[in-house]
Amino acid sequence: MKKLLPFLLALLLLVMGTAMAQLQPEPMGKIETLPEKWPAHWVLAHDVSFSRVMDGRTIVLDLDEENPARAYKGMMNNSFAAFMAQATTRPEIYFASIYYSRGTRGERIDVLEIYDKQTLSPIGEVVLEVPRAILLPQRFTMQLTRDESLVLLYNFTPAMSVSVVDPVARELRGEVPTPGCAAVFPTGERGFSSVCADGTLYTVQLDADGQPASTSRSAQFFDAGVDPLIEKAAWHAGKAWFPTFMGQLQPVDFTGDQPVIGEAWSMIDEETTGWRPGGLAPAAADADGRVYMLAHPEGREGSHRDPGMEVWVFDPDQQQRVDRYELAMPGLGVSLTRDREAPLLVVLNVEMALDVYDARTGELRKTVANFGAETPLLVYGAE
Amino acid sequence: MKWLDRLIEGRTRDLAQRSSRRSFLARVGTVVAGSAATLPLLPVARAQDEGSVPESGDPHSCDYWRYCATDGFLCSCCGGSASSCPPGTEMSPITWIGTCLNPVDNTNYIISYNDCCGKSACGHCMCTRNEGDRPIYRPQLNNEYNWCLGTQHQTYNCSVARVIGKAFD
Amino acid sequence: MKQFLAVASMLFSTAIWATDDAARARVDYALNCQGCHLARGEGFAGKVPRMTDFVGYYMHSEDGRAFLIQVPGVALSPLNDADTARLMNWMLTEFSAAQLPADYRPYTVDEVAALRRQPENDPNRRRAEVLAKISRQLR
Repeated sequence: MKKLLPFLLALLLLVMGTAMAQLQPEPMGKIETLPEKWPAHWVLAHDVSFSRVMDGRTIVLDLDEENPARAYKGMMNNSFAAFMAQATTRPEIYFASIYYSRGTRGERIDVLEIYDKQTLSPIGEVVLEVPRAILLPQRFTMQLTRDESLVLLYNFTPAMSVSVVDPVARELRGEVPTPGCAAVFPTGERGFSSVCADGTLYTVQLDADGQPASTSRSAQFFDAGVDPLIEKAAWHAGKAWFPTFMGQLQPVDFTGDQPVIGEAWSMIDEETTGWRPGGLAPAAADADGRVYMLAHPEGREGSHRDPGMEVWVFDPDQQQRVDRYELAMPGLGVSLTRDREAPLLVVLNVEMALDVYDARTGELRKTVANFGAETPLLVYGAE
Repeated sequence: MKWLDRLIEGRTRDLAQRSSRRSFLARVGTVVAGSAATLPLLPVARAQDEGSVPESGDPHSCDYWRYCATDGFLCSCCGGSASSCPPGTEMSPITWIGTCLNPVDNTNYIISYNDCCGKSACGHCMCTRNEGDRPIYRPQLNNEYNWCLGTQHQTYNCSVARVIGKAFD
Repeated sequence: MKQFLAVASMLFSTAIWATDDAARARVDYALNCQGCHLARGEGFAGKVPRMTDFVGYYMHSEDGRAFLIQVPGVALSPLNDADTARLMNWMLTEFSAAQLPADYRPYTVDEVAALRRQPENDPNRRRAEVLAKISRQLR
């Protein structure tokens, strides 16, 4: 046995050596990439990180993936309740971030950051000369024009204006005053409208250089002293549906150079007396133009951002509610995936998790929680 | 925000588990409403000088009368008070102004909701009561904006509710 | 004596009315303007125009008169025309009496009503134009 031991050891080493020689080390430095066009059931959870606003992040999630670990596709950083918008004709996502040179203090710089969808990396930026507005996140603070040649950002200093950026040339084009009027709604091919305190829309059409070519004001169509319009509209293909505090739905068609203001009608009926729309992102529309609205039963002064207990589905052309979905957990925001076939309704619930419902039936499919977000106050379906 | 309030305190799960769905919804309704019924009122009698504001309630609590349209962290829980900023912050002069009903003398007072700025969020005593809040196109009545305008830095720490006068009814 | 009493009571009620008017204008100012223009109309350099010891200059031209009603904060304010006129007239004498012209006349409700229907689209540019003209005129 004593004689055998060295032999056995030598044999063992030989075997191990062979095994070592056969094992290829995994490559160093491999970085994953994403497809240029994202699947329809991917969403972007825009976490503005409410109590640590310098550390915002936007997380890409695949809602079809059953394994929660694999549903997380990657993330992008941004800062200070960043504005966000997606292009459809370029694989790009835009964030308008604010940075201070010493984190929470020092020199402020406002910058439009251009991210590539395949690498989730910044590929360019445009420094903004006018400080952008800082407010609770909502979709209509930054939008692309319909032709996607310009990015429009809402400023509040407290003077109100819109910054115009060319994201392809990566140049700032200028600042358009929007006195007394807030937010940006793409209007026509290369223009925008803002909602004004006197119940009108102010519309600016821009030329190819992003300079104002014409301005106009609509007739008054709501009275903010009686029933304020909520600017957090449902939007699909250039058409918007605005809820009001008291539960009207106001359609506006922004596809032409001038917005066409439709007839408002009540979302409340005898069954739902006392209910009101509510939430931070109370409304969204699907690819068929159906409108989804968060609603809560205890309407009163100050309840316009209360979480919804139900989502109501409307056919706005018929001015009819077609369904009522009771929510598993009260919701603060709704969004839809872009597909016609099997759209998903994503509800941000009060625990900051995402409840994923079948948009056609209201059936709860899953809850996506604990994915590294603190306050993903806006969720965007992938364009 | 009341929901954030509950989130930070980790009370939502608690609520959902302990209550039946119906009462859960009812409670979420009232908690969100910022109703005084959900939080104990601590009567604090104050000496009333001529020209001073008669006081009742707890300035560290979201249901305190002056906070009727507050949306943010209460400075009284962050090292400041209902009318003063925490150490090392800067009070924004530019702000929005609303009215709140004082339950002691049943009078509407004019409240200036100044933000304290220059440090990141206090994170303590989140309070959202949107009574009188109007959309962003009426900024003079809106609490969604960060009102750290006119301060050296726009980093938001907390909000105060200064009484600056009496309103007409 | 009867005449005297009648005149006295008229004067008295006018005084009360005037005080009440000022008090209401002051509250309207607090709730609609003060957040940005600050307590005494001092404004904020680079962000909010100053009115203290200044806003009266606008009354030196018809264009200036119009501009003050057409700025977004006034034209689009939730106040009705009469309350807006009362507020503007109070502001002019309260913040900037020394800058008013000798022939200053307060705004009428009709004047405010007509002007605010045409809000200014580019307030900064127009302000510069209006003030340039007035300063040439006063030189």
